[in-house]
Amino acid sequence: MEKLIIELKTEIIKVLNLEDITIEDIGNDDPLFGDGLGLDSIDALELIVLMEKDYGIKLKDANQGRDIFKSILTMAEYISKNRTI
Amino acid sequence: MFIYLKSNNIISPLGFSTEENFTSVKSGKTGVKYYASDTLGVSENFCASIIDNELLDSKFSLISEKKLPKFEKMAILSVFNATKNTSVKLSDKKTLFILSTTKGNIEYLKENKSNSDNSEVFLGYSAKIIAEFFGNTNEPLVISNACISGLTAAITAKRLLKTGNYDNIVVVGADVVTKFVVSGFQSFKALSEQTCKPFDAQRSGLNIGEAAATAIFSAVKTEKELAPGTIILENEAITNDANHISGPSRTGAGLFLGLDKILKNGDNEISFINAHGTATPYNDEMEAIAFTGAGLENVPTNSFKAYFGHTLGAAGILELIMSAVSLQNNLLIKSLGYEKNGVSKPLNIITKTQEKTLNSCIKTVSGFGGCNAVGLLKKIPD
Amino acid sequence: MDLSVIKYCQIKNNACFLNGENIFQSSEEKTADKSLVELYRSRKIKYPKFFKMDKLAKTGFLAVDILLENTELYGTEPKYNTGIFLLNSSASLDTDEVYLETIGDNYFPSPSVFVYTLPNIVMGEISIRHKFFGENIFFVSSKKNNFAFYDYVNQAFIDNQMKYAIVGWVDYYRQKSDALVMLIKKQDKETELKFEKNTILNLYK
Repeated sequence: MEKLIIELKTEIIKVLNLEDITIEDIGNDDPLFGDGLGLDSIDALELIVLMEKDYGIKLKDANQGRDIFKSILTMAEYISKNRTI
Repeated sequence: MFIYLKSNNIISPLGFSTEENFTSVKSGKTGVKYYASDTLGVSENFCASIIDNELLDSKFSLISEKKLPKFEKMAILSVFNATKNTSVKLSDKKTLFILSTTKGNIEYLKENKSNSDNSEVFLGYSAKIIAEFFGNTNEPLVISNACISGLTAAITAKRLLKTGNYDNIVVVGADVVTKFVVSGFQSFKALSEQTCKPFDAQRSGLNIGEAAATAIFSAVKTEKELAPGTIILENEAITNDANHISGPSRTGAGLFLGLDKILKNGDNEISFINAHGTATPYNDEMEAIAFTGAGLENVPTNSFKAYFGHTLGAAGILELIMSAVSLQNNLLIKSLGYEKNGVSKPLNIITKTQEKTLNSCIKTVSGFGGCNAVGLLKKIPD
Repeated sequence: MDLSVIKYCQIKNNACFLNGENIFQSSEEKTADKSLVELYRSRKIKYPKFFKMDKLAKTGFLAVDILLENTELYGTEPKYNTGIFLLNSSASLDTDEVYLETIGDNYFPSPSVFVYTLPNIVMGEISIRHKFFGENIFFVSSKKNNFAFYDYVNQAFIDNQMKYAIVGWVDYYRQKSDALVMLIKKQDKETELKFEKNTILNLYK
């Protein structure tokens, strides 16, 4: 899990162009949206692409992302349960 | 000065003239069809309104033997059809072409490898091909303002005519359905796999459509010079939400500002509103809030998106023409796809095509980049 | 109506000029997009969203941000009547080419790239940054001195009773950034720099 969490943080910083943010800046429980990392609706869509590209998980409905993308931890838990690659 | 619609044309799967399109819409026909994902090489199936290539080629071959991309053929044929029965001299120095499009010839885009040449995909290149086809040598203007391009182009035509430097302005709006655009909207989870349902409780996204539409605008000094039934662009506004580059404003602030501006002056008797009504959850909700805020919630309202799909750069001009013809025919057009209210501020959605004396209407569009445009059309009374 | 240019800012490849004066120069070897980031840092702007923008938006955003420094338009006070009218030749073609790569054999269409395949997004970014609720239009033309563009700006000034407008050329294609933006207003004095049909070309360095 710890490996997956670091992998996720690194990838999120890269694909969402979070310049000036390092993996140490992102807490496992920090909210990704709103006051936390301040991600927005386009970032959420980009995370859906990331899920499919890196882990073979297809989310058809953008609303599904709401619970999954709460924090790095919720994302990692969902991925480890549902990944196909 | 009064800016009026001198002539027009619509090319879509519903017909190659405005009359054909209007007749189809009156009878409730839609150009939207279901396509399997491999039609365009995208990952999911989709619904779209696509012009038959063979039919277009056969119509185009009647006016020219030139080999051109679909985008330019559609645009040229539309301008040609719009000028069939008019005295507008397209090659005149005081005639200007405005092309309204989001993506033009994008289907021919090549990847940027070893200096591949994409010069044919430049919008200015397409605009020149279209203007030069008609012998016009003025540098054409292209407007690429996302989904508000068409109405913005009409507003631009009005402003340019007011300078007195032009006699006629030919606004042609066009876009084609491509893998580029469909894949992009799919990545936004914005496309519906069914025919779209604007303002409905079950709406689940939009359909992309292809069309070319031409509106030729001209100016007169006094209203008396215009024949009864002529449509004028009475008032207009363009605004920005200053909020988000893709999501419509939750408060409808930008669209409200535009509506407020055009309703401030003049008499406010509005016969109907032709909304943007894309059938995405957020767009329609935003419009409902803005219309209600402007006190327009009881005005009969429709969206043409379930007939034509969202025709992107053509949408504003196509829907302006359809609204103008509705006014002229005193016909409120049913908002296809609507059954049950699906927005937080219920609107007076037109559920049945019906005759009614119509005098003026509002056309609205909103798009990526937070942009909104609003136009007030008025009919010269009998 | 006569209009005059209050200020102008140019970004060309690795240099930036304010009112004709060179205020930034990055090394020749730097690519244009890296040089845009260097310019951003050199102005001490704090706006993380900058890094999410495509190169056209970065170019326009920076040119306008530098243009508006020390003016009443800078900042988040809502402004309802400032027009933004931009022109370029390549529309969003640079990002179109980037997006195309995401829908090739390795098919994963990117929404954050797709949204920038519309040239007017740069005006959305500028409007969000400085809270411009007024009119904005993105024009495309193969020529910098498109006369209809000039006519439009003039008439929009009259019709909207605008106090200011931000106008100019903002382009980015294949590692070449090229922007010249101007802040214009109604002319007060004849000695002011006049906004005319050829002004964009004439101010070019």
